[in-house]
Amino acid sequence: MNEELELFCEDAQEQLTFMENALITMQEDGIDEESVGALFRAMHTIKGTAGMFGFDDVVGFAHIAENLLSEVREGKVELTEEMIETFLQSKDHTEKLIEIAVDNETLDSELKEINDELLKVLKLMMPGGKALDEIKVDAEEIVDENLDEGDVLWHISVRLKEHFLSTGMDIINILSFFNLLGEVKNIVPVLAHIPLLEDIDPVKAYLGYEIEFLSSEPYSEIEEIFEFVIDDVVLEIFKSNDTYMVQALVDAYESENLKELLIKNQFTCAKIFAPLETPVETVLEPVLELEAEIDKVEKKKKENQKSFSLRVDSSKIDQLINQISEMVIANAKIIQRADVLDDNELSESATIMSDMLEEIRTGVMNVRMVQVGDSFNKFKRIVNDVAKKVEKEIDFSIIGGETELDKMVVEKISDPLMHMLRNSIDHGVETPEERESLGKPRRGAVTLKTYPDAGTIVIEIKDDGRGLPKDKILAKARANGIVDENAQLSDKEIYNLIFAAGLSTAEKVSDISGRGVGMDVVKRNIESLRGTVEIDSTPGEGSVFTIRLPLTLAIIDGFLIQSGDTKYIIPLEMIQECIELDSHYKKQMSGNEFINLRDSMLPLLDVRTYFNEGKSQSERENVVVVRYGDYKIGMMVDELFGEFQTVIKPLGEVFSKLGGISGGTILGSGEIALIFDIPKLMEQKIREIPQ
Amino acid sequence: MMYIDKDELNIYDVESFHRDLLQEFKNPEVLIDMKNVNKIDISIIQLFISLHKSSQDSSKKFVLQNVNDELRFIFERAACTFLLGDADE
Repeated sequence: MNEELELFCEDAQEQLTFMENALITMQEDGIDEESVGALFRAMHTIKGTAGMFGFDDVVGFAHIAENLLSEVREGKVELTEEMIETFLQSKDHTEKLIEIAVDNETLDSELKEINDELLKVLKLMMPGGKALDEIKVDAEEIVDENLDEGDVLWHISVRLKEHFLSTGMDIINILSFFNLLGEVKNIVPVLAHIPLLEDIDPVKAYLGYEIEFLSSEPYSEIEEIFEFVIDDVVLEIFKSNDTYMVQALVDAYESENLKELLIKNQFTCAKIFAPLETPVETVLEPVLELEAEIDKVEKKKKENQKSFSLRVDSSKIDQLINQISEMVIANAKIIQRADVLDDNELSESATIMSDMLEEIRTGVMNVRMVQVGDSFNKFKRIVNDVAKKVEKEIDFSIIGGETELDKMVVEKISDPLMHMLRNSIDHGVETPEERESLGKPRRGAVTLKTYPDAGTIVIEIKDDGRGLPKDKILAKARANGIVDENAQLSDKEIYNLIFAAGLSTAEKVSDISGRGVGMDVVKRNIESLRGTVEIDSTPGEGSVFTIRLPLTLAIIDGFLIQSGDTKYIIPLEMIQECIELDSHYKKQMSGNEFINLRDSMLPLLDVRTYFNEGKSQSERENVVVVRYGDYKIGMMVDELFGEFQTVIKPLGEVFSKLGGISGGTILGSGEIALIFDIPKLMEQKIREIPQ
Repeated sequence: MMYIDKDELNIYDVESFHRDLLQEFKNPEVLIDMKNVNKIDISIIQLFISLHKSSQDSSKKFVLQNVNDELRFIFERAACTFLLGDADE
């Protein structure tokens, strides 16, 4: 797939996801004008970009959907529940059409049937049913009567962006290219934004053009005229008989009185407008004018406040993060050198540099961060569909959608979440009748909750269903030889067995879940993101799946310690406190690996023993108290060095089986420090504790 | 009358030309002799449009004089012959 096509797919997917979210939000919270406008623009963008690639099926379908959205936007048609459902189906269908077009395939009969059926429904939803077709035919007749076969009368609207003149391109030369591809039937400059002589900044561009152009060339050829200035102009190209585009253009350039300009200059497309109404002088007129003025000011204000987004290849951000990582390492060397040389000034400069690097790092990391809600909203529809399919009634809620997470992590976690949600609905939540007989509300509740916690992001999937069948899971695991017949497992260990490959306790295999394929993949996917997943379940009350994911994948704030001869890094955000393991605590321990920390038992993990380190080189021993989820342990270490910006480097295949270590980092001295995998260490330590 | 002693006017001249026009605009009428000019770009045309607007605003006369065929062709391509007094604004 070439780069342009890839960009098109990405953009179309974004627009479609956006449409889906907007529709689902309106389904729940009611119609809002802004979302309807945005829906129209999304469909319009898809149509326009698909046209550039000659994807006629996409363009044809999107055009009709866009027409209906335009009517909704103008308040001519009410957006009903049924219509939202149709637009959701249209969104899915457009997605399929794009897939087929990109793969250079043709519509099969089944898809064609769906296409025709959806088009019929969309058209019927237009005001007066077929009225749109009639209007369109009228407009086509107006245009077509003077055309040769194959010729199209295009409307081209172009506005030079302020910086246009600095590009060195001259729009006059660009306009002359039109004559090579066809005939300019009408051209008029748009002068509305050109200031008076005393106000003009002569190096800025304010000009625009409306052009009617007769040509047999396709859209892409015409657009190519603007190839070298495509980012320096605002360009719209559409067929002159596209009633809705004409209206959209006139609306967009209302401040230029474009409608009057087109009528005055006898543009063909202007024939769709009724003659300008004669103003009626009433006492209300000044008030209406004032209101219109206020509207304009408000609109302008909104336009000014709009930020713009920039599409950047994620690999460029990764490259930037890598470069910052190398700078962090280089700076650590400078700090080390300053210490050796006892050079205060160098040390101070290096510290300033270190702070600045941290700020840049946070800034770049933030570029990758997205609100999880934008992506999670799609689950609403999936839950809805699955619930309908298995005849269950579900109240699904998303809490903490504003929580931010690395975009790549959000994308990768999407499939596991979808799988777990399907399982919750299919197997967790009971049927409405069962629930009623159990004295539960008829509708089951499924919640997807996201929140930050101790340097991680927690995603919880909670249902109020029947809970996991502990006995069945254990029996099945024993029968499949996954656990030993005599093994004594805790509840959590039993629940975790559902992540073993090939274990499904579902009595009925549905097309949604129950094949035992998937939960192992779910766990693997989560672990590949350096995350963990835990299950808690209460019979008759429901289950909670808790996923913990690291906030970032590249650089973390670490805490440097030493044990024996090796330096280690503990992720700073997991650290609760550091205490000295003095004689008072040692006396308490009396051979056990516990201390009493403010009246609570704290299990200790002796790093030196655990990793077979040599003798301590320090006079004192320390305990670093770390927390992960609901658990706390104390890490017994020798030296505490303090905070350290840690660039995570993978350790490679050789060390892949080294438990409790998630990676390495390079210190300023060139030494390697190993980064603790706290969740793994904690899991192992807790497993050692007698039940 | 303002004489332009250049064969071509473009983006590189537009700022100084703007200053000259502002000076010229102080006169009761703005007459510009384009006799020596054979080529202009859109930045100059845009400046003329701005001058045209200001002239209309203050009811001053603004005329581009001695526009040769080559230059007229550029005005035509830019759809701005109204600046030459043609009634197509």
